[in-house]
Amino acid sequence: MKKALVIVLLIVAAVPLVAAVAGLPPHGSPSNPTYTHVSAYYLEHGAEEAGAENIVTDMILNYRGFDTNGEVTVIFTSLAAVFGVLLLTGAVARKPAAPEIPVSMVVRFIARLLAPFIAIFAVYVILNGHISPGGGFQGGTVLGALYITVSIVLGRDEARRLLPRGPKPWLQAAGPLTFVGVGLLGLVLTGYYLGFPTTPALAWLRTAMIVVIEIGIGVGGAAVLASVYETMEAD
Amino acid sequence: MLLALWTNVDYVASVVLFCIGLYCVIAKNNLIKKFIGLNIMETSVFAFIVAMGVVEGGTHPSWEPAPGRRTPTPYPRALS
Repeated sequence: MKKALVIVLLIVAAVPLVAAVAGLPPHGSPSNPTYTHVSAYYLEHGAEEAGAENIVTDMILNYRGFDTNGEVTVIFTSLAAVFGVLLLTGAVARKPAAPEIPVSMVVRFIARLLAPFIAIFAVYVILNGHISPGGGFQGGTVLGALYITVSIVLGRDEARRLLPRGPKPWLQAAGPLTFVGVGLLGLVLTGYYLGFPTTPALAWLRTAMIVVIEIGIGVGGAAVLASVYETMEAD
Repeated sequence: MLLALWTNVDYVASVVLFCIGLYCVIAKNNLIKKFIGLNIMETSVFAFIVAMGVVEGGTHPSWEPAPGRRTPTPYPRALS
């Protein structure tokens, strides 16, 4: 009975979807509406106007900078929520720390060997986001994953040294802070929050602003990932 | 109708993926499996958005200016 109901429901959901899909313009044709309106402008003017060769980065950080600003704030808020749930209720403080599980020597050796290469790759992805595919979010994820690997394989204390207590809160808030900083710089220069200077003479400044935001997002994202893991692991 | 479906077979694939995810969410009792189903549904939406931006013979929009480049709009949309 339940199975029949589920199948009926699936068919009810699938039929309108398939009908709608059949009515869409043909897949892959350059005359599709997705390709002729906004995107055509971005593809034609993005590289000169917005400061980055990678059009996707242009869109994320320049044309739709407000959206990304909010997104970065959301990531920071998620960290605040984790802290709020786990630390303020005292769940972490009450429990004794769980014993660490010993890891095989081979895994330790490989992790030690690969860690610097992973870190360099993450920095490369963050700094090259305005030229090639990549950027702050992607590179930050790689850095955060490196922290988690170090924490699992080499132990908590080793990992904690990578994220010292003093600059930790600043690193966690690096994404929103740099975004607001660059936004205010745009306010001073052009009169608009997150406004990028448009004169060709200041093209280097546009690219510099984009790279600074990318670094902020990367560092902030990595710190948030690492500290969410650290807090949840302690629970 | 069938011909239209065949030219848009990429979209149809994302519909199929969506239905698989929906089935997992409705029919499974295990919460982890439900969550995986939700993730499959999400991925199907990404696949749909990215398929919309494809241009026959086009390259990724970040490469050097070329005659046929794919739309850059789907990528930020998938990000958010």
